[in-house]
Amino acid sequence: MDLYSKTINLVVTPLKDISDSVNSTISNSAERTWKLVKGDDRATAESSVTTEEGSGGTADMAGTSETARALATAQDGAAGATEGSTSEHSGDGTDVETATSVPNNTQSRAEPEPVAGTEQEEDDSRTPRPQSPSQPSGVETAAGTSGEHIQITEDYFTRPSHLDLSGASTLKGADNGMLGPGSCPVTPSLERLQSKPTTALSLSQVHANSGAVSSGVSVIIPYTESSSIRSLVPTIDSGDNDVAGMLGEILNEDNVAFTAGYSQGWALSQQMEEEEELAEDSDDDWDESDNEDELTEDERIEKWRSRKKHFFILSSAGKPVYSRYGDEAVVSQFMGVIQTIISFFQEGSDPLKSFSAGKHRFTILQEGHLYLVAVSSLGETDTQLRTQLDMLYTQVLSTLTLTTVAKVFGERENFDLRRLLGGTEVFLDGLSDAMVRGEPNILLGSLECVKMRKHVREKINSILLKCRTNNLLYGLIIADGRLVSVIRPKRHSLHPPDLQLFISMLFSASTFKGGGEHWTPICLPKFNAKGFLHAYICFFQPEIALILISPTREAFFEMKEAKDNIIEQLDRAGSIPIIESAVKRGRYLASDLIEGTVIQHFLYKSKANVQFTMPSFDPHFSTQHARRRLMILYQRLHAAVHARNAHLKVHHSIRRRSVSLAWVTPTFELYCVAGAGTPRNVLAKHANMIVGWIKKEEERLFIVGGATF
Amino acid sequence: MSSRKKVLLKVIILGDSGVGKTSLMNQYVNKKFSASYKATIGADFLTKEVLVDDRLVTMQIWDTAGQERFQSLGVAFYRGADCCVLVYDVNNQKSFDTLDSWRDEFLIQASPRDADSFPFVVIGNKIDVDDGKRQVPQKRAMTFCQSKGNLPYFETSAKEAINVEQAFEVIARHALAQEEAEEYTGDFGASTIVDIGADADRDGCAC
Repeated sequence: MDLYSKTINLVVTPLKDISDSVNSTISNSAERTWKLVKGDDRATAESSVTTEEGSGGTADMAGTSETARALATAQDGAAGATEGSTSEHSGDGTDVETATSVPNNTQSRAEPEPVAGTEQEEDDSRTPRPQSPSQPSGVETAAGTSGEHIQITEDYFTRPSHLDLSGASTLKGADNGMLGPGSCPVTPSLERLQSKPTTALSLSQVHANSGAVSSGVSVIIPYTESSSIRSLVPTIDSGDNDVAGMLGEILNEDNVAFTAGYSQGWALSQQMEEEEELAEDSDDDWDESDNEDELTEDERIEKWRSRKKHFFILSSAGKPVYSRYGDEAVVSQFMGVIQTIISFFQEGSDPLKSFSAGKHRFTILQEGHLYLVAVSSLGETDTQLRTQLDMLYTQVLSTLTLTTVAKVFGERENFDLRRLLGGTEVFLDGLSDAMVRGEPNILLGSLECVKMRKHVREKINSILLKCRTNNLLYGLIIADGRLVSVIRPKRHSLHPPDLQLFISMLFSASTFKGGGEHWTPICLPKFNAKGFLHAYICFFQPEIALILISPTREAFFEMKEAKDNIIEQLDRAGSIPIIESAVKRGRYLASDLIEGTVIQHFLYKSKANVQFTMPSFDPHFSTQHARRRLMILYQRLHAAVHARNAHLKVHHSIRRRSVSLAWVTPTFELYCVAGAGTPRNVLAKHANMIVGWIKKEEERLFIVGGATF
Repeated sequence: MSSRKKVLLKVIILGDSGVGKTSLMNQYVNKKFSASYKATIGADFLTKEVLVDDRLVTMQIWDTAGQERFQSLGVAFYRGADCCVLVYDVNNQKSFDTLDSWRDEFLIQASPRDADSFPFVVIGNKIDVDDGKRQVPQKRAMTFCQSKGNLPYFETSAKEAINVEQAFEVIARHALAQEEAEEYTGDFGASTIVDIGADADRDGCAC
């Protein structure tokens, strides 16, 4: 199994090689069949059989199999490495991405310098500067010193073969003149490099119609007919192409002239971005309606397959626990297939973590007897998907506790966990939908607060503190999904994932909304996964909830009394209308901060406070659609600066529709997006202004310190 | 609690290659039979909803490959099954002789909590083939089933759809009984007490 990780990651140092190999690979992909080799006789035997059978029984369910390119890797360890080094030249393309790699120490003071540096560099691109992104040497150094792994994903090979070379010239014209033969600041390449790092090489045309021999996983979502594992187990063929040979092939790809490959790359990347946007634009895929009643069986399955993102939870026996979409008949077959794939790799201590098929990334999280699987075509990294899976797992635990889950499966592996989860699917649905939509809080792993004056918040805090009773553990006021106030004991912190979960439960389902009082056992897994706390929940205004959490089951009346006191005092202090109006007003506008700013939207995460702030999605991203595109962009920026081993501090990305910037310092992360064509220096300047404004407003935007007792 | 939700039953079909496991499954689920033999590679999955005594259950049928080279799939594959179906070909003595080792293999791999009471159902398939070729007399099969703890036994023909429906009905019934053998009591008592005093602050994440 080890062989996978060793062979899959290509180590490429000089930048030129990357683009060469990428380009040439694109052009040659059609005829080539590469195979993974696994050092395991048994597996080899199986895969060769698969090869024989490849075009047989699977054809009937091969909807996607023609295009499915498979790759599998049991390891995402080295994944992150890619992102750092490649992001500099990987923009999705179209255009230019530059990055300044600044060593940590020069940054310790945080703030503006790096961005300012970027500006200068642009203004003065002829002067050699060691770290200038517009210097070829700079780029090569960056890539060279960090000596990263380049991983090729299958997506390269799905590029259409008809290259629109005319696109190349237009693109060159449009690139701000930063590109010149001499200055190649950016190597055209494919963003997949950064957004889907983990990789394997399995580049075969996959069976079915082509009748060609297959290798690799063709993950075909099973339906109607019996689905056969033959097409699903990652196939490993020790055929004549051993991996060394295969890597050699990439590295020594007959030299497509660099420049030629260069412009070709541009054309390609432009096309890719267009395709990608097309995909993002097709709204029908985003249809989230659950109304499937009037559809026929086939239509339902078709719809199920066309979802851009799926979340599944299954037991280690392959019994379905949860699926966002699809009825049991469709899902339970698929669960069997997934269980088999996972268990295929289970021997040894090298579990399957993720694999790709076509445009879909499969990421797996194994937690005891539960397997959680995300299938996404939205381009998230494994790390991002795994964070999302962990949220779902946390949700399951919050309903059942780890103790119960371990106990029921420990006693009976065939246990149908749905029986115990019954009724809470609505929370898992809410969470899944949020993660399909893309939510900044999950992406950034932090919480958002309602912006209010410091003394107002302090007043609310002090009322909560004053009214607290002996059995109170945490007290919270949450409005419109954002924090207003938190009180907690000094020795217990409140963990962001627990709170995110709680907020999601309160605001994404109608269970608790609509007045009334609720007293519910809840496990906050990051606080203590073993047992239940008890939460008193009361929406005292339509979007404003007071939550009092106690470890004592009998504390209902105590909490109720505390709540009456709190509400009365809040009322007397006039705090309630202030919260109400803050909720009604919504978030601030980016243009409130800087008049006429180029920045359309931004996310700012304060690392110390584990909180973030952002302006309203209006006016630029008011539609669902635009919001999704924005979130995908953020997710890519986030991936670029969070790759493992990334030394990237500033990441500047120019795309056809937007110009964006990610900026990471020891104290904050800033992601901002401006309209297409915004010059870099202007964007950088405005980013600085935002940071300045947030510093000034910090105590209004964030809960700093928090109220403890 | 049990009537609230549909139950999902995991049923595993085992037996030598060529005895008709896939055909039985296809006959049962799709009401189809194909004379051409196509070896199962690895495993196939089919789902069927059935009514057992007014209870709607979903059978998740795991059809396995009989060839030895696929048996390594088994390790994690068998776990958590609710019923195991052992299939042999009445016209093939060897396929009958190996039933016992299939059963042992299953018990080792799946390690059900109570091996003695775990439900197996034995099926002798291909009874449509003319009598002269029959190698395993019904009596011998019955004796085997009795010796293993009175396993239900059926003689079927996937081709002619004889007895298939009946066999699977018994399979579903036994699987359901197994699934419900030890209804989870819903005892959350053990996990309800959180001693906040003992739970030291684990990290400094401040919100």
